[in-house]
Amino acid sequence: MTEPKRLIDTTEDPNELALLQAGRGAFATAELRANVLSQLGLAPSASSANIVRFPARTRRIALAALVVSTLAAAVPLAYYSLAHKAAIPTATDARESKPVPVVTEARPVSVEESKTPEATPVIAKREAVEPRRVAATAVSNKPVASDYLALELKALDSVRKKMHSGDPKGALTALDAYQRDFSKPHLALEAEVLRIFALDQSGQKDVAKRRAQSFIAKYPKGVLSTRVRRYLAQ
Amino acid sequence: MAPAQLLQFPARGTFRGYPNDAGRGKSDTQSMRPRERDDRLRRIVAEHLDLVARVLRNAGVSESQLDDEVQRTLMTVARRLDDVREGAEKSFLVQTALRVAAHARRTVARRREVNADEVGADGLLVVEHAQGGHLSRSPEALTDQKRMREKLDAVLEAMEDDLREIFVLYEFEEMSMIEIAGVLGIPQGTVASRLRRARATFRERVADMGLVAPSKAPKLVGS
Repeated sequence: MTEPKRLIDTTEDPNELALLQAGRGAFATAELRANVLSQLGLAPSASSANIVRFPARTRRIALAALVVSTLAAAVPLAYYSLAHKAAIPTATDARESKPVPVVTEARPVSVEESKTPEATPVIAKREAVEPRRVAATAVSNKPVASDYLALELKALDSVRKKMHSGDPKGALTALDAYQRDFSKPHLALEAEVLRIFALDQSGQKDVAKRRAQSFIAKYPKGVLSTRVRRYLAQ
Repeated sequence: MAPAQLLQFPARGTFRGYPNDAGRGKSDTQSMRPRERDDRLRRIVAEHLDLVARVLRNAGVSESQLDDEVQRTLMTVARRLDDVREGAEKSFLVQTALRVAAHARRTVARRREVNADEVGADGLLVVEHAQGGHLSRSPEALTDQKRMREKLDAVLEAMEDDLREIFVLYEFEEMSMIEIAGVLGIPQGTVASRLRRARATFRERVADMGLVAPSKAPKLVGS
C-alpha cells in the first residue's frame, strides 16, 4: 500500500502548518526525565539523568585539562591583582580586612564550597597577596575593565554576607545592583543561584521555586544545578 | 489484511508484537538479570521519553496531568518489560500511552463541569474569548506557540478517539501504516480509511476556527 505524504509536508495552509508543528514539539523536560528514572529506581548518574558516562581514562584526561586551564587562568588574574592598584570609591559595607578571594575561572568547581549547606557562589579561593579595596555593590559605579572579574566576585561576596547575616532582602537589593553594574557578567549563573536562595529566605518561595525549575531546565548539568536540585528536593 | 488475521487488542500482561508475527511477544531476556533490566529501562527512557510525552499530550492528556501520566506509562512498561520483545519497545510504549491517555480522558470527562458559555454551537470548546476568556489570559499574553498548542488541543478534541489516535501516530510520530496497524491491532486498510477521515476532520476544524496566521491576534471562536 502506498502511503500518503505527511500533511506537514504537503499543506499550503499556514494555520494547518502551525498546528501540525505545535503537535510535534518535544515535551519531556530534564526534570521529568530525572523523576521518571527515580520512579523506576534507576539512580540518575551524577547530577543529571541525561549525563553521558565517559570511560575512566576520558574522565581523568578531562580532569587534568580542567586543572591546567584553572592554573592558566589564575596566572593573569594574579598579575592583574598585583599590577593594578587604582583607587576605587568604596561604600562602608565594602571594606575588607581579609584577603580578597580571586576567581580562577568563570565557573570553577570547589569541593569545599559544594559541601557547605548555605548558598555560596562556587569559586576556587586563593589567598591574595594583599588586601584590596574594591567597589561595593551599593555604589552603582561601572567597574574598571581590568578588575571586572574580581569586582563581580566581590559583589557576590557582599550578597552572600547579607544572606548569612539574615538579610535576604538586602541580598536581593545587592543582586539587583550587581545586575545593573555588570552588563556582561561572568558569574551570572552563580548570581542566579544566590537569587533563588535569597528569594526563598525572604519568603517568596513560589517565585524561588519557579526560578529554580527554570534554571534546571536551562542548565541540567553542573554543580550549580545539583545545588538547585537539592534545594527543590527539600 | 484478511479479517481472520485481525488481532484482538493484547490482553493485560502480554504483548504479541506485529500482526504478522507468528510468535508470541515474549522477550528474549525472559530471565533478565537486574542490571540488564535496568540498562534496558534506561535505554527506553533515553530513547523514547519524548515520544511517550508527545503521544500522551496529543492523545488528550492535559499539560497539568502530563508528568503523572508519563510516569504511569513508564511504570506500566517497566512492570511488563519481560513480556516485551527486544526491539518492540516503541510499539509497546505507544500502545500503553494510548491506553493511559484514553483512561485519563475518561476520568477528566467524568469530572468536568461543562460551562454552557464555553461550548460553541457545534460542541467545540471555545478556545478564547475576546476579553478574559475561559483561559483567564488575554490572547496577547500568550506566545504563538502556546496559542497554537491550545488550538491544536481543541481541534484534536473534536476528533473521534479512533481517528485521533491514527492522526497522532501518523502525522506527529511519522509511524508507518504497518506500524500503526500493529500497535492498534487493526488492518492496514482500516488505518488508511481512518486517516483519510481524520485529515478531513482536521481540515474542517481548522477552517471552522477561523484562525489567523501565527503572530496575529486570533478571532473570536465559536460565535
